Amino acid sequence: MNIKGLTLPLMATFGLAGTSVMAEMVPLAVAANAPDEVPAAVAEDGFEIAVVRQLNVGDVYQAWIAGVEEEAERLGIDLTIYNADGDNARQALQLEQAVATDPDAIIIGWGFGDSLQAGLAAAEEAGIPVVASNASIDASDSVTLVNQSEHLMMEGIMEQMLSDFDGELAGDMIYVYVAGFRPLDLRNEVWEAWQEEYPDINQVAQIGVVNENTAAETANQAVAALQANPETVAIIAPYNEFTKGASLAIRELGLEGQVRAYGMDISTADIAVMTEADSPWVATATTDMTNFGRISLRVAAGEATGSYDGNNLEIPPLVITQEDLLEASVSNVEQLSEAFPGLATPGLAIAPWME
Amino acid sequence: MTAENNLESAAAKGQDRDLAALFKGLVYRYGLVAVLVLMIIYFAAAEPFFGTFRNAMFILQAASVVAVVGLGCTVSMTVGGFDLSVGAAMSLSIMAAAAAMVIGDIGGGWAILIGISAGLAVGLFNSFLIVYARIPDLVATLATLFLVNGLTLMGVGGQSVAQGMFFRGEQTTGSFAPIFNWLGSGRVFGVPSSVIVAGVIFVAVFVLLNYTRWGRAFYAVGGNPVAAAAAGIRVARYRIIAYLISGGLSAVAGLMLAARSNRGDVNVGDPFLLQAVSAALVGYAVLGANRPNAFGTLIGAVFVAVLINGLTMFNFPYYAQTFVQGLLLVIALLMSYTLGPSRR
Repeated sequence: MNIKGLTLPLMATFGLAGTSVMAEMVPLAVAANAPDEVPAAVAEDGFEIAVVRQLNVGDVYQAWIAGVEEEAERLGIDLTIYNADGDNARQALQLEQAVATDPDAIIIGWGFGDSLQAGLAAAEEAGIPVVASNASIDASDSVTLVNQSEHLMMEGIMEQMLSDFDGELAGDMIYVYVAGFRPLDLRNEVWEAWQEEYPDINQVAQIGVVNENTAAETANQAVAALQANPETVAIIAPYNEFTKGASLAIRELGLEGQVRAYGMDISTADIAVMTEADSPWVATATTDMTNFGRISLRVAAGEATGSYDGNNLEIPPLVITQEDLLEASVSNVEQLSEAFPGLATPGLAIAPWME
Repeated sequence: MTAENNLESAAAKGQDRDLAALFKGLVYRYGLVAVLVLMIIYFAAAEPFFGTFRNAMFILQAASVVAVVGLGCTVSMTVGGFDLSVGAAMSLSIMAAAAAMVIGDIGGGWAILIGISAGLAVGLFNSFLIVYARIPDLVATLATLFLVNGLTLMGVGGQSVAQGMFFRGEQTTGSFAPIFNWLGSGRVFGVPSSVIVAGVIFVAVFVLLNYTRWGRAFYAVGGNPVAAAAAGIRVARYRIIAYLISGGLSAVAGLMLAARSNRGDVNVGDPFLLQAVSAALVGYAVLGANRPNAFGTLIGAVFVAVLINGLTMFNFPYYAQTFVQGLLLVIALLMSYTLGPSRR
């Protein structure tokens, strides 16, 4: 998968516009002098990682936190988990609170740098390494980013779509997007590049809403957009709550044969939606969120023990089609990682002592 | 109370009843406060960080926004009203102030003025519907909730307002004013500014409701509007003032929230309606007030913040925390409605 001549703005400028000093982003790798044995700090009681997460309700966030908890248990690390229920002000306060309890490392699961400034500064001052997992935060000396590679994910489903359309990407399409969320913004860059490359793509509507009820509200919007544009051939919905909503809308209108939904991410509930008879959701690009959680925990533990160099880790995705799923007769995420070993990104960000 | 006939056992029974009544009265009056104190002692004993001054400030900070909205709800409840639009008013004031700074690039003072005016406008609209159009409070404020939420989204095209955002195709250059940084993360002698603001508002509402002629008039209007009118109280005027206070305090709470998150998030005020109402209702059961009251609402807000803070330290999952909040509300309601003096 190539990145179609995009100049990637690797530094997302979500900090104070124009004023933020940005540290260089260096790809994360296991340090040459990383300990072979479990470091004493971890082996002793009281090694603690705080998890401060913006969003907690939803399959993706459940899968992610399950991975964090699993890996913490495997490595014998204590966790304290703060949940902000989507309230950025609450997450800001919880980050400050987490810093005050002086953990060995902090994982931020989703969130905005603007909101978290005070807490991030406090963490830096206290010398607590921060891992920003899927968050709109800039990398720095004390902040390490762990993200799925959004560009590669979007490239993946666009390539899949190109092959589904036999190389002729054309027709009315509905696009689901809400600006201001880093992953969605990055995926949007790829969508725009493809629109330029394939001018016969006719975006007839852009819909989307992100809140506690994303799937249902996106479905309502998609029903309206589909009715207004009866020639629609595809809905590009690059976030699983969007895709669920788009699939629901296509089904409600009985357009399964005509409109394909291209999505992103995967959960057990998503697999059920994708493998239903005549499901409009034909392909998804995903990293395993549980694996993502495990990696986030490893990176936090590694940063606290000097096991890594660099401050930026991008997890490569896998494109999975409806056919793949049916062929492997997969019905939940656990089976998914067995059927598609690539999802577990073997060997990624594992220091010798974590084996 | 029916007449007592059996003279022989009357004395003994009476004593039992006195004791039972005394116990019931004590539980009714001090039960909730006692539970709060015991909970604090337990958490502090089990987790040393819980009992520190710093953590106390985190708890009060977490309670501050709910407390301010809840105090607004309390005032509207004293006149027998109910304001469902407080969350929407918060969202509107947040968006108005954030957009003024980020998109309009104007100063913090003006942004605060715009935000508070937005909240007052919501209050004014509610009073118009309720007092002049004679629509029942619940229905009127429900309509306002949807209207205002829609208006908020229309103003910014459904986007969240953040520094550096794109608006109508152009990147914005404005940023949150220093006064907001102070309100969000500033401290005075170690006390967060949001706690100070909430404290000042609490004192003001407490004094207003308990020590002024206005306060007595509010309660009189809520208790029996006809009698209040007969006693020469201008009922319409007090209800308008109550909804203005509710809208205004929602706006203040909104600004506090925006200052902490440094963003204007879409519909971020929504969950605060239920949290604030629940704080005000828990407040009924505090010190046996059995009516909306400022101190009770404050305790209601702090109670939930203590609970969440403590349970988080024990790694209670978030859904269990919501359940425990529900439990608290049920217990509080049992205390004020079941244990409390019977009402007509």
